[in-house]
Amino acid sequence: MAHKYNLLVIDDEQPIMDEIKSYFEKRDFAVTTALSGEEGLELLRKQDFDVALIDLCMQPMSGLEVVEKINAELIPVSIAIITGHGSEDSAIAALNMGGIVHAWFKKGSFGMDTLYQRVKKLAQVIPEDKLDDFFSLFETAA
Amino acid sequence: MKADNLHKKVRLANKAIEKAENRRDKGLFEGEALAYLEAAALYSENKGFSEKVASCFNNAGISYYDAKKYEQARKYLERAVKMRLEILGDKHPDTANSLCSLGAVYRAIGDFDKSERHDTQALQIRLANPNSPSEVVDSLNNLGILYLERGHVNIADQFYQTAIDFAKTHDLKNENPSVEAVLTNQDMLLQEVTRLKKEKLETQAALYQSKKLEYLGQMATLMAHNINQPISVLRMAASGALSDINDKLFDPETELKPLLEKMLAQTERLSDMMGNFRQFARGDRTVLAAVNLNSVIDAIYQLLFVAQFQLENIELQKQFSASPIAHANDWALQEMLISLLSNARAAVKDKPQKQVAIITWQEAGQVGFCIEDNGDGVTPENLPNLFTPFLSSKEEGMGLGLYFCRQIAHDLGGSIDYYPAPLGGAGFKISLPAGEE
Repeated sequence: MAHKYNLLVIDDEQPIMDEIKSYFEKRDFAVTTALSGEEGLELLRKQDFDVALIDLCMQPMSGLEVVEKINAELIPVSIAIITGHGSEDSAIAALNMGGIVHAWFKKGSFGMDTLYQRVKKLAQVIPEDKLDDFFSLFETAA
Repeated sequence: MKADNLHKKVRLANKAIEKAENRRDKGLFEGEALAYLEAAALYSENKGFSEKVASCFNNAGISYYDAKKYEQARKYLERAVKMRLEILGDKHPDTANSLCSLGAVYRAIGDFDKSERHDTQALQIRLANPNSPSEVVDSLNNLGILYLERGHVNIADQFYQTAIDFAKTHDLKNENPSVEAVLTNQDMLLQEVTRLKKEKLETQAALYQSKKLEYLGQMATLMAHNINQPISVLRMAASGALSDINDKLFDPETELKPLLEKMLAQTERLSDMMGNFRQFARGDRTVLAAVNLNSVIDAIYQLLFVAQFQLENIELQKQFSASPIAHANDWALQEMLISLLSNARAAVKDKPQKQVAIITWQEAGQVGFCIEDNGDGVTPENLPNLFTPFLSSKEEGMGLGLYFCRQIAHDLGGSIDYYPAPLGGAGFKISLPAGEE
């Protein structure tokens, strides 16, 4: 069985979560979903994930707070954030948190393939194309 | 010798009057006035001519009036009135004529009270005199003009109408210059009234238009949020299916139907929103019916504010009374709610703990709602202008929100009042007549 990357999606909108889950699971991801910031944070503390995809606009615990907690508790995970209309300010706050947020997607303006490619890159500790470069060094040397 | 001299003076005076009349024909009114004053000086050499002197002063006053030299006109007409009252008494038609001319002068310089007093006195004299029906018409006409200038259109029209009726009962023809003047004035008044009515309607229409635009603008901004949700689901579903097909991961047998159903559901969500928006834009605001305030508030909050409040971390406190039924209009209430909730949202913007409260209440014969926030509230110096249009303390908006709220509240037979909210910021209490369930 091929290797599966672990993705955690934290979003309070079920339809969006369903889309992401079905798309990523058809490919090389195992997707866990959390409908609230608290639930997501609990999962992050207990399990290992390669990437956490977090919607910043949630209540009562906002996505920004989740990111702050991950930062404070030094939970090892790559983070991508999603924002809706009008929450640019919190996205900037998250991106300025010292490089722990690696990607930012705006709701309604990205296609599934873009999201997938970007998240997959984050999931790979050494991305595949880099790995190929790495091995090619040995091949020429040999 | 003395008699000759006197004779000569009278002859010269008569000549001066001839000169005056000549100058009038040429339109030289100031010169005419000077000639009359010259005649007055010559006549006044003899006591027997004081009536002539008064007449010369009267005519000089009228000449100055025609020359638009109202200060001089007033001076000589005052003198003529005084002399005629002494010589002819307060029932003589000539006295009335001088009073009437003096009234016209006061009207020209804007002293309407004095003008009315003189015109009325002239009218009384003329009414007592059966031989001067057209002068009565003149006096009534003058009073009409006076009231028109004072801005009392209805009273002006009454004077004109009385003049016309008087002319009819006294067999004055329409061709009579006095009657003709009144008829012209009444006609002009009618046109003016029509113009004013039109102007007022246009102003009202313009104000209504800007009111509608203000709400539609606010609503569009708030809707942008909600519209974005189904759009992003649609985009994800469609782009996801497309790359599934490219990657040969799409099974039409099992996946096509659910995909289309899902997309359809999102378009329905969108069309519901547009439907609401359209209804709001076109809804009839004039029909009053029983409206449950709790439902209207919940509906507009869910439609427009819930996402915004969540995003900005504003805590909403709802204290709803059991079933507050108002005799009101759905759309009008929605407009008020949009304004007041937008204001509350803006007011708490910079507070660390943002709170907005919506309270509904009912008492005997009245129901209503309150919107409170924990912002900065209204400063005492802004309080008197709170409901005045175009005075806004916010950076955005036209400053029409609260003005329209008050207008809407009045249209619904209710009221809106400001109070300092227990939360610390502004509070608005809207009272409405109670309806029946």
